[in-house]
Amino acid sequence: MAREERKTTGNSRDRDDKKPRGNGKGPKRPRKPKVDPFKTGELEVTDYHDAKMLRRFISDTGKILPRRRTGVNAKNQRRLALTIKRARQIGLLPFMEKLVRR
Amino acid sequence: MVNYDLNVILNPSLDAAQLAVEKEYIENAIKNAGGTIVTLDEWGNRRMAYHIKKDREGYYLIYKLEMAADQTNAIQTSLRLRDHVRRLLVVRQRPEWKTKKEK
Repeated sequence: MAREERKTTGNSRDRDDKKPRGNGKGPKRPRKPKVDPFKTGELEVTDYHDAKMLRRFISDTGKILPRRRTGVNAKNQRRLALTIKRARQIGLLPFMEKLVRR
Repeated sequence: MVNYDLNVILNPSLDAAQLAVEKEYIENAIKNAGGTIVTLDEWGNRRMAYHIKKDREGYYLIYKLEMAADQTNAIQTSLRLRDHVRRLLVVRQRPEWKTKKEK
């Protein structure tokens, strides 16, 4: 709860506090806390017709992105996954997409 | 009574008469199953993310229905028999899952 309300300033102490960092492997990286756009009421999780919105949550190859990348909370991630799978069934999203190399 | 979405993808190369026949068939199937159509959203031909039956396009029809919960299979089996119906997806609406805030 408190995480969503925190201001996203450039403060170096301000980071995603899911995992304790500083395990001796490399420097500590400050990170902006991600906000769940579904929780804030910005986007609709159940809308499987909105392919443009769902594109945000799949990778270039068409995979569903993990929530550590997108900041979606656990409940909405489960529902989002279902929504993406429905959009795939009716041909709005790809099951997989070839990665084009230049 | 539960609300459902019925998503139908038709053959993209149908002429107006054939299209009317298909739509009538779908509406009859819904009526026979005891459902009522709330809205019909007709997207028309739309490019899909992958090929279905070697076509990259599909004719999208999105019905919003209200019907008894045990009748969905009856609609699906009758519609799947149609040659021009290429994809069918029935989804139960989940208003309690909605996250978007209305302004």
